[in-house]
Amino acid sequence: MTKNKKSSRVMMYCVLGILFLYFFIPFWWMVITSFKSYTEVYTKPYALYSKSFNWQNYPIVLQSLPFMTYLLNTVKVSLMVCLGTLITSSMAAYAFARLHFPGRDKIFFLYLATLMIPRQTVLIPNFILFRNLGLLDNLWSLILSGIFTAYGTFLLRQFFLTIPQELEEAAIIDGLGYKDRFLKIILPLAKPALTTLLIITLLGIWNEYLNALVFIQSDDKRTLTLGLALLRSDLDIQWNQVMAATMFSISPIVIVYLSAQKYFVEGIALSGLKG
Amino acid sequence: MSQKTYQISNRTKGLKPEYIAAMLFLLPNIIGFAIFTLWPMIYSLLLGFMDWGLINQASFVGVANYQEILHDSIFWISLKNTVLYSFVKVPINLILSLLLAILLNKKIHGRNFFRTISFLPSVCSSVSVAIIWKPLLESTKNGLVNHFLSYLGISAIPFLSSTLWSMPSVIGVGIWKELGFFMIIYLAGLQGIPSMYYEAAEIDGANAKVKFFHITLPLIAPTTFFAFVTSLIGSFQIFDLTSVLTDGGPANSTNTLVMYIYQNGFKWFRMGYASALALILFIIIFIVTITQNQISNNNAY
Amino acid sequence: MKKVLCVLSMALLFVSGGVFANGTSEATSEKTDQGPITVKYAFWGNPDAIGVENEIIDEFEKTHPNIQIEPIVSAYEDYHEKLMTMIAGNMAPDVMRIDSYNFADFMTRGACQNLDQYIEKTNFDMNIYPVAAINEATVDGSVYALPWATAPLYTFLNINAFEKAGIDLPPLDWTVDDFVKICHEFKESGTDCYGYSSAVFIEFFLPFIWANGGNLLSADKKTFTLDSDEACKGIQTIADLYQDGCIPKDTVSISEDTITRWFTNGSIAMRFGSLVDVISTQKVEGSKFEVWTMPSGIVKNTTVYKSNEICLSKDSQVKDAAWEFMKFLRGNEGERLYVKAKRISPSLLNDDTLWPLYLGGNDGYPKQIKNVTGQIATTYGHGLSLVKGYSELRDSLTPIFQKIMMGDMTAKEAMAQNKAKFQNIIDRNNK
Repeated sequence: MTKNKKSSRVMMYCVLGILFLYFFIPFWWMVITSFKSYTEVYTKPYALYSKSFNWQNYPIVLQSLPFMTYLLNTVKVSLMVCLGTLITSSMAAYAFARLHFPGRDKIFFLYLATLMIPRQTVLIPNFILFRNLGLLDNLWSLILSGIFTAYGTFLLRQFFLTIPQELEEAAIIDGLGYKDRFLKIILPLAKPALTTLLIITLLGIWNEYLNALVFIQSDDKRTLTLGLALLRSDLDIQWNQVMAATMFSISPIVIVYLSAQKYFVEGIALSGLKG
Repeated sequence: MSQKTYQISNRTKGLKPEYIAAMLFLLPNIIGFAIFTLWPMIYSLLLGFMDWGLINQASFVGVANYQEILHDSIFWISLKNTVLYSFVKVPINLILSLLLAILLNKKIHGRNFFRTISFLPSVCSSVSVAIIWKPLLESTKNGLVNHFLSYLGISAIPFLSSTLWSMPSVIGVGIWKELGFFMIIYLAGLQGIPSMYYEAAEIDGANAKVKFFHITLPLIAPTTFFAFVTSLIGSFQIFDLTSVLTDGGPANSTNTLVMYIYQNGFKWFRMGYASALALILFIIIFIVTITQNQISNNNAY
Repeated sequence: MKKVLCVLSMALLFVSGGVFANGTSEATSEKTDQGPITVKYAFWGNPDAIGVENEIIDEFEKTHPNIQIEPIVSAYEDYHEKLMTMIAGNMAPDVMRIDSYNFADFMTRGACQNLDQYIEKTNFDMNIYPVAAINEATVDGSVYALPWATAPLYTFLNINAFEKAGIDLPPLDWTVDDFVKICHEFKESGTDCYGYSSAVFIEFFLPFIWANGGNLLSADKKTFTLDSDEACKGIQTIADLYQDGCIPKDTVSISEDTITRWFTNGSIAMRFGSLVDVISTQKVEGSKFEVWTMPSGIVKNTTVYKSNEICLSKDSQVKDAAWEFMKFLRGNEGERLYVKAKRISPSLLNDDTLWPLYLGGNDGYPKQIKNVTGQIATTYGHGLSLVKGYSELRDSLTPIFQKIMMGDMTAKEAMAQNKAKFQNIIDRNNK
């Protein structure tokens, strides 16, 4: 028996090793390119090493444009969108998953339907909407258009549906009202889903490009994606700097993801419910 | 799981407390949703009946756009490409993500490390991913992937420069990007399965295959529905990846519907036509989602 | 989770203060007549290019203290899309830069203000611009924009590659046959260097089409004429080179920055490119290259010569101030600052100091740029047939060219098959 287990373990680690290479090598190439010199990028672009270790690419590119401002703007927008999405979507998802009211499923389907329209076609209507609201060239336009997508409500509703009815029924018997059941039973159990939603929302808004492109006019409101696009403008692109700036812009999310890792480990504790 | 829910209160005159509660829970989200998501969508659907060059005034043209779409060969090509991409990429992606999630749900060394590394590709925007992969897929001796292949004795494959390989390459890069993304979604779903069920099954003498098909799969059905729908919707709307990797080429082999919509609306001054195309895309996704729902007879919905 | 929510809420309080502050400060814009007039100026650029624009804006504001320029910068990638969105939402910038391929569409749809009265009012001398450049901005005798970055597309010759393969550089009046011969010589030379590559766009096929006497459109710009024998012969030349292996296979799906990479690392010997490609190639150490005319044939002038435009928005509320800025931007002052930073090559006809300013006493490569540019402007240049619907035509031709290059069809077959479609594009846009 142990021999089988051992060989399957070995195979598992082999698979993981291949996966590691598969995921990692393109990133390695990106990191190495960010340290190459301009000449190296153009003459030996595919090399996985860099003779001239140009760490100066980082300070140079971060000063060529006000990247700190861009980072701050992106953080502001992301924070607000994550908060707004978590709060409003969880409430709406609870209503769709656990409460009954006329037209519930039809309205939910309307939510789903809005996910099926490509964002490029609503770009102009969005622009006109925010122009009428006087919110152009203002981070709030990015925030408001980011919070109210149907994505969060959809994800959480599906998750809430998996929470066993018995738990809530027990709470009802104990005399808990809607608010308490939501806050004390459902939300704590939904930690993995809420964390997942947080990560997904963060990813979406951090890399938001189209809306930022048309809503933002002035440099001090720019977000990271717009800054990165500026680096790739015109035909004399400095790829080493582009890669350095890209590394800079993905680092915060990686850090957030790493710290949120532990919430994935928790599972449902059903102790004390069924014998 | 029982489908019945309990009536919380007896039938009384007026609004049930449940309706009021529902309204209160829904209100913050649905107001914002109506203004910032629903209204722009309705506006853009109405544009499908107009001819608008953006710079000049819009004029009403009725169904002329839709009639033109029927005879538009590029529309049919981009539709075919989009369907091909979606129907190949989504199943492969979801199956691999689920397997990866199950693997990384076990207690093994370096689990967190592998979870992070497989999630890294999703952290980058589609544009960045395409920028990284484009030079790697070159078919000259300089392309990294072909370099590796040459060590295995395989001659250079024209990944991005042949109509045969362009779509598979795009699918490959798309999967690379989103494998980790759906893995964490599945992880969240897997965390929701009480370990008691597995323990009970083991006591009954079930092996891994039985456990997978009879416990895991059914209990993550809502997660699968979510992953499938969002993955499908996302892949039907693929744009950045094909734009940067191949710009729809060569010869329209990776031209997708949303790319064609964007081209018409923003490069060719035909916003009305683009909106009409978007409505068609919407209907298609709608039908596919409904069909999937019926086929799998999902309890989740 | 509670902890995370706590942190998020505190951050929310901190952040919302900042966000609100930003919001309100933007809302107060100058509306009084006593205060400075704000002119919004839209352009594209990377950090280097933006630096030059800021210099120009500073210089202008020094001499015009009552006018403030507000730059609206975007990456080139989605620049025109953003511009269109702004115009569609009635927020058009006052002064806008538009590239040559899109200008006809913007102008004919009414985005640009007729400049005749402003030119007359301020006695602005339009003769400082090359005639070809003014023609592109003129409709029915009225001028709608001032040209910017009027320049040819050059052939880049990789001197390193030529020397390594032992092939002589061609003369300025070289023909398409010379070009084909050189490509084959590179293939036979065994130096692992391809003869030529360029992105698949109509403007890189036009020299070969023109050389045979064909053209994209008829003289009155109403008929699609790429299906003529002459035009097809030109397109087929490139397709044959591709199929013979003189052009790298990846060319069919390549983007322009990859061409620069191939050029500088010795994979290709010739390419077509613009002045900005000169900048990026120069920065690579050890690159020896020359800029050249495009190969000719029956017709002598086959080098693409085009111009971007700076126009004034029709909906602008501050047209007089905007015009003042445009004059500076496109007059000698602005030109000198652009040329000094090497972002554009000298094109104004009334200033002999521009070329020395551009070259800056530097005799590095490309050594003959002044001579070649001058010759192209006078003898070898050929304008594009810009017409309403040009972007659509250009984008729709690319997949067809790719098919022809890959050998799915000959040029003649492809053009015959698609002629109706292209004619329809022209007709639909030019009703």
